[in-house]
Amino acid sequence: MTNTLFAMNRIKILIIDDEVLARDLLRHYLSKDERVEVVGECTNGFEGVLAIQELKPDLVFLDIQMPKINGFEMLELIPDPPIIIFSTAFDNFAIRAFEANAIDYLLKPYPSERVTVALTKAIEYIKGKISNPGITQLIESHDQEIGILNRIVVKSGRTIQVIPVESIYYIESQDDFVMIYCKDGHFMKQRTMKFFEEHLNKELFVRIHRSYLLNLECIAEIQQYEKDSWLVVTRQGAKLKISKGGYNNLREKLKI
Amino acid sequence: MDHPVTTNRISALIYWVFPLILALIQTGYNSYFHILSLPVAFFDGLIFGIILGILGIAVWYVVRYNDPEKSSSGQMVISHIAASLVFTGLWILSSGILVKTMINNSKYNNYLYGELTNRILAGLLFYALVVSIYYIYVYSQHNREKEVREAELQQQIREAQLNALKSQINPHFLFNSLNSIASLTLTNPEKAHAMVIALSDFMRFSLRKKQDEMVPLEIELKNIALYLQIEKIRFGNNLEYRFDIEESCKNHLIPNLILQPIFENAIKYGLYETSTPVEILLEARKIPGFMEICVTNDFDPKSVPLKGEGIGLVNINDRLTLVYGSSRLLKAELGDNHFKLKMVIPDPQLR
Repeated sequence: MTNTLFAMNRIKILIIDDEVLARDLLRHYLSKDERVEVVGECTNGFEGVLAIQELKPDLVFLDIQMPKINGFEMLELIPDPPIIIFSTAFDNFAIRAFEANAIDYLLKPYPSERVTVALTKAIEYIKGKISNPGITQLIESHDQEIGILNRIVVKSGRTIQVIPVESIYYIESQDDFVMIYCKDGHFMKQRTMKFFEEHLNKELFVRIHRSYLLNLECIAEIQQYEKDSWLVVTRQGAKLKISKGGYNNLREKLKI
Repeated sequence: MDHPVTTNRISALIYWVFPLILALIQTGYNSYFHILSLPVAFFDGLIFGIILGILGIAVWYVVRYNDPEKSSSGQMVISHIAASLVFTGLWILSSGILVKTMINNSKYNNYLYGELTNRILAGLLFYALVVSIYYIYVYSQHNREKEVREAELQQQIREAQLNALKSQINPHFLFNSLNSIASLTLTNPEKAHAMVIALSDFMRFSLRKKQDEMVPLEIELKNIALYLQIEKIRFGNNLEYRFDIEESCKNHLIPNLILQPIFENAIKYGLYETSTPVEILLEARKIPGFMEICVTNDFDPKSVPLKGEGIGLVNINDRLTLVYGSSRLLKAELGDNHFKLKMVIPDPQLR
C-alpha cells in the first residue's frame, strides 16, 4: 500500500539519447532509485519534442550531441521545457554555462553516484527548495558559442524541420518572435532579430529594415517609390520596405 | 671552409701548373732572347715561380677573412689592395734576394732592376687571378651549403606537415568508446570485453606506426575493420560495412592510416546524422599505373551538418600531395543519397 502511494509520487523521467548504450546505462542506474520512474526513451530530438508534450515528464535527461538536431536545438522548440539534466561526452561547450544555469549536467562516462546527486538536486528543485535555474540564460550562453549558423530548426504543428540557412529568403520580425520565409514555406521562431543578425552569414544576409533581414541572393530588383524611399522586390515577388540605414547597408554589400 | 688547394691533391696539382707555366715562359723568354744565360734564366724562373705559388696559397686566408657574406665591399677592396701590394712586394723581395745570394751575378742585378715594373705587374695580375679563383670557390661552396640547408629544411617541413596531417586518434572516438565500455561493463560484460580488446588492438596499430611509413592495403584494412567493429558495437545494426578488394591490390602499399579519416568522415556525416542504417563499401582495383580505392557511404541528403564540412578530406589530399607530389589523387562525388570518395594510389615504382 505504501509502495503504491509512493509510486504515484515518483518523478517521471524521460531519457533522450541517440546511443542505445548510453540509454541502457542510464536506465540501469535509474532502475535502482525508488524516487523515480522512467516513462519514456527517445533516440533523437524529433521524438523528444513530441514525447515531452505527450508524456509531460518532470525531468529530462538530455544528450547534447544527437543526429539532425542537437539537444539545444530541441529545447528551442519547446515553449515551456521541463527540468533538464544535460549529458555530454565532450566538455568543449562551456561547462561554466551548465554550472551557472542548468540543474546539473553529466559528463560521460559518469558513475551512478553522480546520477544520484543530480537527481537529488532536481527533486529539491521540483519541491521548490532551490531557485529556478535559467534555461533561457543557458540557451543564451550557448548562442555565444555557436558562431555562424548552418541550419535552423523550426516546428509547425507536429512537424519539425531543419532549414539550411541558404534556403532562407528573408526573416521578418514580429512582436517577440520572428517569421522565417524560406523555400518550404514560412515558420515562426521564438528568437530575436538581433540573434539572427549576429548568427547568420553576414556576406549573405543584410538588415534592410528594422523588421527585415534579407538574403542578398533573393533580390530581384530595388525600386524607388518616393524620394528617399526604397523597396526590394524578391525573386519570389515579395515587396519589402527598406529603411534609410538599410539602404546604406545594402549599397555597401552590393557595392553600388 | 677548408683550403681548396692544400686539402685536395688534384686541385693542388692544377694549382701548381699556373706558377710553373709562368716560370717556364719567363725562363724560355729570357734565354731565347739571350737576356740571361740558360742556367740563370732557369734559376730565376724556378725561384720566382715557386715563391709565387707559395704566396698564392697564403692569399686564401685574405679571401677567407674577407667573406663576401660578412664584409662590406669597401672593406674588401681596401684589404685586397693592401694585400696585393704586400703580396707583390714580398714575392719580388724574397725571390730576388734568394736568386741573388745563390748566383751573385752583377748582370742579373741590372736585369732585375730593369724588369721591376714587369714583375710588379705580373705579381698584381697573379694576385688578382688567384683571388678571383678563390672567390668563385667560396661562392660555389656557399651555394652548396645553402642548397643542403634548404633541402634539410624542406625535409623538416615535410615531416612536420606529415605529422600534422596524419590522422591522430580522434579524441571524440576515444571518449565515445570509453562511454560505450562504461555502459557495457554493467549491461553486457562480454561485449565490453570484446570492445576493450578491439580498442586496444586499434590503438596499438595506430600508435606504433611511423609517420612516413607505407603499409600494404591489407594491413591498413585490418585496422579499419577494428575501428568499424568498435563503432558497430556503438551503433549496432545501423552500421554495415563491406570490403571488395581485387587479389592484386592486397599488397599494394599506401601511406599508413590514410583511409582512417575517410571512414571517420563516412561515419560522422553518414551515421551520426541519421537514424537509418548506413552501409560503407570499400572497393579496390588495379588500373594501369595505379590502384583505385573507392569508399561509398549512404547519407541522408536532407541532413544539414551543424558545422561546415570537416577538414578531414582536405588533410587526406594534402597528405597524398606530400607523398606522391600530385594533388589530383582524391575525388569526391555527391550522389542523391550516397557519398563516394575515389582515391588513386600510384604504383610503387612511380612514386
